[in-house]
Order: sequence, then C-alpha cells, then structure tokens
Amino acid sequence: MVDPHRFGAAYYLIPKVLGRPIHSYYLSVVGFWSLALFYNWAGVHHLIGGPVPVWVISAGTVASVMMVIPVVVTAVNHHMTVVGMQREVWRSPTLRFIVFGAINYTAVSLLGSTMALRSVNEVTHFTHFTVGHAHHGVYAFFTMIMFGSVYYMMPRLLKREWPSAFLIHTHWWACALGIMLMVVALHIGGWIQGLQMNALDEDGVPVFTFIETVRNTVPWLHARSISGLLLMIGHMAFFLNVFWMIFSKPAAVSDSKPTLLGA
Amino acid sequence: MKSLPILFLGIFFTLAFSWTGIVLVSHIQLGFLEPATPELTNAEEEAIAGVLFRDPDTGRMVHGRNQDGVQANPMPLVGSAQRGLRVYEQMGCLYCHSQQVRRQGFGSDFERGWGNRQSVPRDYILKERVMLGTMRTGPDLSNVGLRYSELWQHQHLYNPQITSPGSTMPPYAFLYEVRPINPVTGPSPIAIDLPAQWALPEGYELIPTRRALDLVAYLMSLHQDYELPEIKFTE
Repeated sequence: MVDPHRFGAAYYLIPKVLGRPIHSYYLSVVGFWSLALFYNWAGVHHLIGGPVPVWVISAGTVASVMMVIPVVVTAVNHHMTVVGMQREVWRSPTLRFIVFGAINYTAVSLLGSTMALRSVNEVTHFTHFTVGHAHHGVYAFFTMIMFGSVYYMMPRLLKREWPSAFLIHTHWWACALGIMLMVVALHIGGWIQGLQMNALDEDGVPVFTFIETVRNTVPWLHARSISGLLLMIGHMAFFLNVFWMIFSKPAAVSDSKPTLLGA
Repeated sequence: MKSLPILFLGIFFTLAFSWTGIVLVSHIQLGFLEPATPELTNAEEEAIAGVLFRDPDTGRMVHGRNQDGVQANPMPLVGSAQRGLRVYEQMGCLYCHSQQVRRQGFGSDFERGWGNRQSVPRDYILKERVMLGTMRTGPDLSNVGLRYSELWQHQHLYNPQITSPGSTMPPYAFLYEVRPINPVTGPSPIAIDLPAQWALPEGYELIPTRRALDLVAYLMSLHQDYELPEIKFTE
C-alpha cells in the first residue's frame, strides 16, 4: 500500500541529492510493473490457515514469493545508485534517512516473502513477529523515507536552512536505534512465542500453557516500550527543529550554507 | 507523456486481474452460501455427501437442500448479543483475539481446545462484522461461549487477574459499577459474585453496566460446535 508512494520519493530524491542518474531506467520499469502485477494478490497471505478457500491462499503465497522480483530489482537500482557515494549519503540528512529506508525495504520485503510460506507462517502468524514485521515496513522503511523527504522539502519551501544539526543527529540516532530495537525484539520474541504456542509433546498435548506463552513475551514487550521511548525522543527533536525553522527570522539564516551532518 | 494510454491500460489490467481473482471468483464460489443443516439432500430428499449434487433434469451441479426438521447453522445474532458485537468492536478486543480455528496439524488450535474443527466461510455469513483478527496476544474466541460461564466472563472482564493470574489483558473495570447495597431492596439480583480474596468492602456490590451485559451475551454466543455439509468434527 505504501510502496508506490515511497518508491516515488526514493526514485526522485536519491539521484536528485547525489547528482547522478538512477542506476538503470529499465530496471525501474520492470520493478514498477512486476510490483503492480503481484502486490495486489499478496495481501491474502494474512489469511493462511483461515476460513477461506485454499486456492486463494496458494495464489497469495505465490504472489508474495513473486514479489522477490520487484524487490531485488529495486534493491539493485537503489543501492547501485548509492555505491561509491556513501560519504555523501552519510552527510546529507535527506539521504541518511532515505537510504536507511531503502535498505530496510529490501530486508522487510524479503522477510515478508518468507513469512508467506505456510511452514514459516504457521509459527509467525498470530504472534508479535507479524507486529514487528508491520513496524519494520511502515516505520523503518516508509516513515524514515518520509522524514528524509521532509528534510529535503522544508528548506526549499521556506527558503531557509535547518537550524540545528544537533537536533537532526538526535532525531536520526533515536529513530534509527529505536526502530531497530523494536524490530529485533518483536521478531525474536514473536518467533519464540510462535514456537511455544505450537509445541506439542508425543501425546499431542501442548508443552506450554497459553498463559506461559503470554508471560514469556513480557520481556520482549518491555524492550518494545524502551524502543517507543527512543522514537518519542527522536520525534520531539524533529518537532523542535521544524518549530524552530518555521518561527525563526528568515534573514538570520537565509544566506547560510545547507545544514549537513558531520562526515 | 506519450505512453499515457499504455500506462493507463497496464494499471487497469493489473487491478482488474487481482480484482477478478480475489473478489469476483471468490464471490462466485462462496456468494450463494446460506445456513445449512449438517447433511444436505437432493431433489428426491435423499441424503448426499458434501455440498453439491447433479440435477438429473439439467445435468448441472447444484447446491443441496436443507433437511426438514433439522437445525440449520449458523444462527443470527439477536438482541443483547447483537449489541455486544458493537462493544467488542469499541473495546478493541480484535487487536488481541482472533475468531478463526485452524485445522488440526497446522498450529495447535485443536490441541488447545479452541475448536474441534476448522472454521469455514459459512460460519461467518451472518456476521454483521467479521472479527477474524490477526493476533493472538490472547487466546482464540471462536468457541469461547462453550468454554466459560457468564460469571467467569464478568469476573475476567472486571479484572483478568481474578480468573487468569499473570494475564496481560487490561482490566475493563469501567464496564462495572461498585455501588453500596440498597438498604431497602437488598443486594441486586444481577450483582457479580467475587472470590473472597477479591471481595469488595462490606456493604458494596459489583453491578455490570448495560455494555458489560451485552459484551458477555456476545461472548456467550460465540460457538462453532455444529457440523456443516463441508466440514465435520475432527476425529
């Protein structure tokens, strides 16, 4: 759902800021049409094991695995455009966020294709693994790319620079570490939850009572709370920077240099 | 944009492709479903295996007929239970509870006693909102109406620790009122009993609100303990 939106932003901003063309126009066309063809079908992988005809689920699983094509194509295109200019990416607030999002797009999509396989889905379905996957997609990839886009747009719209590199640093580190902590904690905790939920002994009796599986997720959910705190710190830093930018006197900053981050 | 027509046609084709597959074909396959008796009959009132039989006149496969005098399932929600569905939605129960049983051998739904057969599309045809859910922070509720009493449900909603120590479910105590017992009429007939260690102060009673009564009526209505032509109980 958010993929096409984000594709537009990444395909526009990576070449724009780096000043070099996208790696391959034809790959981007292949990526676009294969995404359009397969992605609509992929949604039903959320119903594996559910009360729908088996052919619907099989079709969804096939489409989810076929999504590897647009994902790999897009990954090659984005990452090859960046290769050799990592220093520039690291110095630009826009690209630091966008390339972080692009890397996570590759990771979250390949994981998602794996999760559509019935044997994997049997473990991950109904657990915090899926919640972690959702945040991996919508935050680590989509939201981070939108942050990067805002860092690009605001100076051009307001004709003034970002007031504080320190706040951008804070925003970046709090959000990047925060979302990675959340994704890792929920993936590990969810996987354990799924294994314990499904574990049966030789007599076909569940090894763990349901309440035991619930209690065993609690430490991972505490880690998730900490990650939420980090994200909040990042968002506050971002908010302060935007607020400061909008309400500062234009003359004071209008002819300054672009705000870049330390190399 | 000289390739605009191609772009338009391509987008139209890809959307039509998935819409035809997922929406249209599923509707053709399942759109006719109605409540059914466990066995269906053909035009001569003879029991048939499964759902379809071949009509001798036209030679086409048609849907079997319900047996006379046998309860057809599922049954519609009415009254308090119907209102309870709204409370279930408003309280966000869906975020942590599913209402779908997977087949034996895929997950542990059967072994945990969440249902003795897989859920099928027909189970949901009369639901105003289908609360399938995608998360099991708490257990599946497809058959929760068969597992616990009304009293258990009220105690559990008021404070999950009463019935399920260690549960991470939040208490829904705001659906209940702690009231002084009326000195003239005495204790209310709908007051909820609490175990001794959770007892209220002397002279007080726990009264469920309308919404708590509706929600519990809804929970008690959840059951898939009937066979259908397309699915039998797991042995």
